[in-house]
Amino acid sequence: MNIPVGSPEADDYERLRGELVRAVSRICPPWLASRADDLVQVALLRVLEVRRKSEENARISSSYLRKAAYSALIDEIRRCRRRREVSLEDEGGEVDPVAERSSAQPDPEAQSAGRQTGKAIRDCLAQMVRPRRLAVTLHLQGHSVPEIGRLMGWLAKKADNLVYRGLADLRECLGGKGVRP
Amino acid sequence: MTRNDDDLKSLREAFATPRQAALSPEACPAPDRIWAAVRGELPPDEVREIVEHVAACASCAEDWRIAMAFEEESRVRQEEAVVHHFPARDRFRPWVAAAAAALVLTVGGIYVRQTQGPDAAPVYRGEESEIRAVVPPGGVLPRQACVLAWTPLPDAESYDLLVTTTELDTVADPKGLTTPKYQVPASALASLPPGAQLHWRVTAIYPEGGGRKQSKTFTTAVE
Repeated sequence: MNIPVGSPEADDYERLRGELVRAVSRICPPWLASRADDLVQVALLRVLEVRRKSEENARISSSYLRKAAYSALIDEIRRCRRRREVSLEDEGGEVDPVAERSSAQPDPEAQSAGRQTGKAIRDCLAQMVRPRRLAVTLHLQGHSVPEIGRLMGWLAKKADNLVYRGLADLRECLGGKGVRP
Repeated sequence: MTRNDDDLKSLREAFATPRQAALSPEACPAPDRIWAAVRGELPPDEVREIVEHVAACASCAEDWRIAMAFEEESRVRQEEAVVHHFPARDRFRPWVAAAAAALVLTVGGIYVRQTQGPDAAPVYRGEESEIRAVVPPGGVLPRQACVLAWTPLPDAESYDLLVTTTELDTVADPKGLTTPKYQVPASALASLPPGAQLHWRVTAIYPEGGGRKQSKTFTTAVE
């Protein structure tokens, strides 16, 4: 895996590495985000190894590289999650105090409430009619209404309607459970 | 910022709350399928199937958001390449745009100073900003969905935004935004000709007198 320093490939990988680390640091929970550098490094090494074996000397496209890097990264993250879940099960499923302290929310009660609200949201989503569930899920993930329309193959008006009605359903359902986000 | 915006923000935060195990790992979509779905490269039926899983599986929801963030990072990089590039147009003069951008910075600076008061925390100038624009490649937005978005700063409490035309007419100046984006009302764009350019700048506000941080002035065209 020799990539000459300063070559276009080296620049690609360095840029990719920075983007991945920032993405993981922004999205992942603190226990995982704190390992973003290592995770990304492992993922990129895997991509490089695959490339070396399959396409010696070939310059792979930027979009392929990004997809491969994302896939390798998520594989690594899923491994981490599994190890962590096993570890927590071994400890009787109790909350890891180290991770708990390193969480972005310093208040344990707030963390617990957040988890319960998250679970309640998923329970409420499960009760919704499918189109509204899909629309609200994407909206909660951060997608705008036009994006939802494009992803789901709906007209913008339909997407808007489904998000609006779906959020109303969600609020009503959460209210019924006594949950206020 | 309305109550509904706050409500949605709370719902999104709760939905993203970590420490919920995957439903059953073997049922989780392969990462490359999530990647393709987020990029809109799959047929809607397949996207729906994946989103159905994401609705119930917190881990895959997180994977989905990582793909979104990764895409956004890429868009930011592309945007940085186009943000200060003014496309050639009939009778367009680059120095006019450059002068306008400089004026926006100057006038904006005065504007911020005026709104701060004598005891306000110092303003960090554009060069030190970490805020970056997030708009589609090419930097052209539809009038009906003219959403100006930027990368959030970790500890910022809210954002003020100033949007002007090249002639420095204010198009919008919302304050106290708690999400890193703002949709410019179509009515505010109605008088602008097709291809008109918006110059916009974000000021991040930190809590408890923690100061402000300004972005560079970004330029985005409207269809």
